[in-house]
Amino acid sequence: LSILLDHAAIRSLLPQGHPMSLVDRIVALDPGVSILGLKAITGSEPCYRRLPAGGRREHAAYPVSLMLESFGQTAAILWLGGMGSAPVRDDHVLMLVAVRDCTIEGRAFPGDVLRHVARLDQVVGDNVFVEGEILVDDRRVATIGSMMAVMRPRTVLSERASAQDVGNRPEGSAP
Amino acid sequence: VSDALSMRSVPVGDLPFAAPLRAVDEVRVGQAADSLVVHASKRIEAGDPYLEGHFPSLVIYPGVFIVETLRQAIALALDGPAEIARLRSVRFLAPLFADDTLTLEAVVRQGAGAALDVDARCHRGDGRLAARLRLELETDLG
Repeated sequence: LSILLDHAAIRSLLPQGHPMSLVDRIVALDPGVSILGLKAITGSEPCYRRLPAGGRREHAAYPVSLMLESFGQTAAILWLGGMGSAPVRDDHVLMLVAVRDCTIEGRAFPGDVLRHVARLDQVVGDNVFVEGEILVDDRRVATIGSMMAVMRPRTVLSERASAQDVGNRPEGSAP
Repeated sequence: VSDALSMRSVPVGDLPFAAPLRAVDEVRVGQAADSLVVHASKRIEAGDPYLEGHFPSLVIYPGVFIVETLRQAIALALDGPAEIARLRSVRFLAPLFADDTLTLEAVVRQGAGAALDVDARCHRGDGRLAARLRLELETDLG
């Protein structure tokens, strides 16, 4: 499979930054239809930082929350691809708003490569519905019945965000 | 209903499993007639792991981390394995920013086999409903 989008291209397309940038490569893309994205899991990711030594094998399973986020980011690239690959502007954020009928059928571990197959189901305004599956080799680890995301200008997220920018941020809480 | 229950605090120590962050600050659990009631809270800190990338110029607690909060709260309440097996329906209704506190109320019932059926609501500090979650957890991870 050829590399259609490498990690640098993905980083400039999506607003998520390290270490929340959870797609490594896009290797297939039928704009507006389907996408295949890859995410290599490694034990050096922050989610393994506090994993105690001597635990059971399943304790090292890649967190389902991150697996779904990684799928969602792949799906976002499919959506953007359908829009002519315009990057999400700096004053916009992509937000996951709903998940339905998502079944986790297996686990993934450090050393595994997640293969996200996402298909565009429906687009209604700024809302996009995708479905698909997550594979490791030829083993299906998740079926995504429906995931809905929305692109929103940062300004409409909440008045509370701008109120926070004015001040009142405790010492030491800055990133 | 849960107000009438006697809720006990559960120690929130180190997690035995891989997790993007410690997604709960406190967990309380109560036993109802046919269910377990779990309450938890989590203050969103800009310095929490992963949040520097979500997003670089505005911290928003990722929706999937609310699922993580729920999973961790129940695993700690059960003091045993609890892994997500199925998301039936999850809706994220209001964003959580840095310095917001999320509070979670979950009702856990025995489902088929080793599965637990979980019905949960998350609120933001200002009282807004932030998320509604219905999911299944697996407790037999053999």
